[in-house]
Amino acid sequence: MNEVTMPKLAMTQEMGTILQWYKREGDWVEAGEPLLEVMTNKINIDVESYVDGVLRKRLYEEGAEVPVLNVIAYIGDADEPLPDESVNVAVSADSNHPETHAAPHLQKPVATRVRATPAARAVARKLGILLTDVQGTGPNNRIQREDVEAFAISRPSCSTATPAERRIVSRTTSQTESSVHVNPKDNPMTATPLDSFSRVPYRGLRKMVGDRMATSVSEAPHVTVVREINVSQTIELRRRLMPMVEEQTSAHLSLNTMVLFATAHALMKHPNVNATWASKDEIIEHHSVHLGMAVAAPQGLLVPVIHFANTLSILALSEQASQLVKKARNGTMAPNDLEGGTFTISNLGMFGIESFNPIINLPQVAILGVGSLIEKPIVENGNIVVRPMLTLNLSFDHRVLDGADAAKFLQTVANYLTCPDELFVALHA
Amino acid sequence: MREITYQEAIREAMSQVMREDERVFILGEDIGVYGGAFGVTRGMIEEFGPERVRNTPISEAAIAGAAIGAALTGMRPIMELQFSDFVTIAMDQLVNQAAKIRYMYGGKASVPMVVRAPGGSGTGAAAQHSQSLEAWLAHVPGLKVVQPANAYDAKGLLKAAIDDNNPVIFYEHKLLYSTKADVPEELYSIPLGQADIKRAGSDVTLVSTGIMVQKSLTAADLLAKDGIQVEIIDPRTLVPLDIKTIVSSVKRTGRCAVVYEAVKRGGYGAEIASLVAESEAFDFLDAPIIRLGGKEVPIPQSPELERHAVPQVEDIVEAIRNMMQKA
Amino acid sequence: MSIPLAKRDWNGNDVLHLYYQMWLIRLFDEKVDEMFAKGLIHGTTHLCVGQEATPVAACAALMKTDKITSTHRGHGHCIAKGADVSKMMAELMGRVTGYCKGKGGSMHIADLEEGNLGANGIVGGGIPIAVGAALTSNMMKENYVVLCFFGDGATNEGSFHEALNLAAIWDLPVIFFCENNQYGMSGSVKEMFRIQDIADRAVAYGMPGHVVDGNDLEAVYDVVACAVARARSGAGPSLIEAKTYRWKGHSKSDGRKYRTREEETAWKAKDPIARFKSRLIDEGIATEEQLNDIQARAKMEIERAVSFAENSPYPTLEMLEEDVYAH
Repeated sequence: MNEVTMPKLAMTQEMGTILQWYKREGDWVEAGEPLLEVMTNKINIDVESYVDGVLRKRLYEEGAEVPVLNVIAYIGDADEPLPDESVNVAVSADSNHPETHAAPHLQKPVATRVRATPAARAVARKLGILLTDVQGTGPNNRIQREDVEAFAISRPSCSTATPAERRIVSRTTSQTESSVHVNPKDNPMTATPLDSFSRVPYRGLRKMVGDRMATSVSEAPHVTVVREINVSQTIELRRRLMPMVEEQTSAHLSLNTMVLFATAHALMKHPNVNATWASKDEIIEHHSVHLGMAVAAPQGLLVPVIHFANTLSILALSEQASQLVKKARNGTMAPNDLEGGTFTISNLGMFGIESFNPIINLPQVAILGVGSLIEKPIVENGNIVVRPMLTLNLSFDHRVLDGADAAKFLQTVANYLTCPDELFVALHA
Repeated sequence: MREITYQEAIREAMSQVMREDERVFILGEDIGVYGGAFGVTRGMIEEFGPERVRNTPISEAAIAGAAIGAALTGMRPIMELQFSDFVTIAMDQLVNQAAKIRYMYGGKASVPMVVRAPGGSGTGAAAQHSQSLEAWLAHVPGLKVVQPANAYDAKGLLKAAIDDNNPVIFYEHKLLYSTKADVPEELYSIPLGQADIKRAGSDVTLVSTGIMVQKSLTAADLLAKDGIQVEIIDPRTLVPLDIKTIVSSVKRTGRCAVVYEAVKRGGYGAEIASLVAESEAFDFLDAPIIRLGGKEVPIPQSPELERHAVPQVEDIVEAIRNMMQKA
Repeated sequence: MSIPLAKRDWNGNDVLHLYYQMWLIRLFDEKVDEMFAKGLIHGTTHLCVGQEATPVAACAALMKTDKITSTHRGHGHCIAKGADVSKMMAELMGRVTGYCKGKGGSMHIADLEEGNLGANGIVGGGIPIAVGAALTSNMMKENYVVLCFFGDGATNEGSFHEALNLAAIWDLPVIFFCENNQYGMSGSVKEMFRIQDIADRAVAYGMPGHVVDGNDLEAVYDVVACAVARARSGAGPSLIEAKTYRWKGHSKSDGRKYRTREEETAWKAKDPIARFKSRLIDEGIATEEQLNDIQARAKMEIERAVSFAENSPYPTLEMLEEDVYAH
């Protein structure tokens, strides 16, 4: 029988609070799989299992504050006998660790005393949702089953797929498949009185995404190069291609698709940009382009990946991109749709953003930020003319690439978009 | 099939059983040429004679005791209480004798008898002739309690009650006597302890007994117009109770309401609500279980007061709507 | 008393067996008294010491197929109707070998095979049941009679009046046999009745009423035999009042403050057993020695009963919920 203990994560840490269990008693756990989320006075962290086995016993409920190094769970074989002390943990913990604070081991946090129906509680237990996060719409703001289900669908989802994220995505997905029915009119925004606030827990997926962003910024030296380009020829080409595309597919050929197409081919020309970190001292330069595109889905930022984007016709690319966007918005993304990206494009043009510094989606080494299309006066052959202008922002990891590498790549993209003829030539190269 | 009334269905069940089994006989007040207070036994004395349709003096305790003594010695008596309220006078015989004889005697005896008891309000008969005291009897181990809600159930359940080797209290509702349903001509039996889903629905389980089944069906039609699909379960017998059917329905709908005519406080619906709360359906409940029952008053005579003393269609509709409502 | 004992017809019974039965009843109840005092019997019990003549004489006048209903003070009735004292003692001691698997105890012994439809813990509770059993006899032409034992107290219950009336109007073969032992618990008949003889109440129901000395075996036998003949002939019920006296208190914890020791002494002088014993000796039916042997045989039978009961197992816990309903 293997013990899981409350980790000591800081010199001064004496206690840790169990925020949520990801596994139930009797669940199979793999080594490295997140087992529970723990909050210390400094951080929230996922505690992963060190061993494979069955989670036999959880000694503390969610919300319990436990002294560090105390046993909080047992993992073992399904039929292995449990140690005696697991039966009455409160007593043994106190008597074995007299120096620790007399912690209320099995105490439930006050915040969990929410008004919820048994069905809502059962669904919340199943989906690992804390009822304190859920807004009740029943009588007396009682949380009912559909409130929990609605919350489960709308809660933050992942942008890149770690095992834990995959787990959560597949859970939300399967729950979507089990015909969770949410009627938007059943979930009206309740009027918020002035001077009120909500405490939004930073945990789960939101925290995973956020932590990765923070890691990226602190680990990778970011440099962003910016270039404003005249895309009148691309727009003209799009205008000419549009009827052909629409005839053959239901997809609408967008400027963004043109950018994806150009970028995919530019990456083939610059494998040092189409790269990911394999380890601390190795970088993989990919020979195919798996192009991630950031999508603002209802549940949050998602980055579905168009696999082998370099092999796709503009027709196929257009179709795939629109399908992925649809899936992302419906919440029907498969875990595979979020994996294996080699480069990411983030387009905030639709929000009127002209220029921004995107954060690299590690382990990738660069990301392209696309701004909005704006008609601007420019000087052309000595004349001031109005042209449709697009700003390209490329953030790159200076550990892997230098300014010149990034600039050259961006130049290729810019060339393909200012003069799509070049793209045509490149296809033959 | 032909349609007959609830009252005719009961008479037909008794007559058909009596033609087959000489041990079956009826005793009660004014059940002879008068035909019983509600006419249920009308014509029966002509067919079966005064020996088997026995007119009794106004002696509920003696009638009940005589039925028990006869049952104990091999007969299968059917006793008619003129009004179910008069069960109070026969209570010692039913509760202390009929219910307990088998157990007290270590299983050596049985008391196969039926007590037919017309109950319920709605006739203006006031406080002593309008009660629904079925919970009193359902409380007593050794008795079975049946509450048919329509003519079809009445015939089949009465046949089963007569065949049963235990004392069975058979609650008839006075307002149902004239209601009609398709009833097979041949004799058939509906097992005691088998609930009937009177209407299927997905949003809320409404457990209704006796006349409340009819009211619930009307209420369900109205609620369906609001998009609320009510599942109506008629337990048909309170003891034994088919709790399984109720629990499995509540697990599907997540909501449970119980409606009964008897005074809400301590009524049998409270028992049903408790059983649901204790059952595996608990984790599926998405709203508190509610009970609709009679007001805690004796039944008054004045028509509007009487109507308001017990749940009506509009009360059921309102309660279910509230149950489905948002904050 | 005019007929010499030797020339009497005791309905086929051996007169010395009747003497033996009286001793069996007395010794059984004295043993029960002793065992209660020692804490060997659980619950409560009501003893009929001093009243041995009434059950023995009454039952002697019955056929084996005739039935009786009994009371809370029923050990005598049970023994007189032919019960096995071992199974009775086992019942009192809560053993599975008892008449009711130990579930009934002192107040609920039934011995259906011998025609004892059961003792009854409710005063007057058995009277209508006896009427029902008689109804079966009539309807099924079984030709048995039912002798219904009850005490003076029961005749002030409504069930007594309802049942007598019902039996009378239907001419049922019932003998209502009142053992007037002068007290309903602490309530003296002098306090609780305005009439001298309870048998007078028969007039109200149109049946014969007889008063008899309950401590005189022959007199009781004669009057019961007469009533049995009337009942069996279809002429209907009779009411017999046998005046007697219980020597012991009402039940376990009775200090008998409601009566004087002088009164008790006076009644003990009318001991029915001693009285019959001297008749037997006087008329040369048996010698004192022979009669003493009979008494000793009864004593041995009681010891055997105690030993049987003490060596019998208790019912298992699985039996707790058995026998509530018949299948």
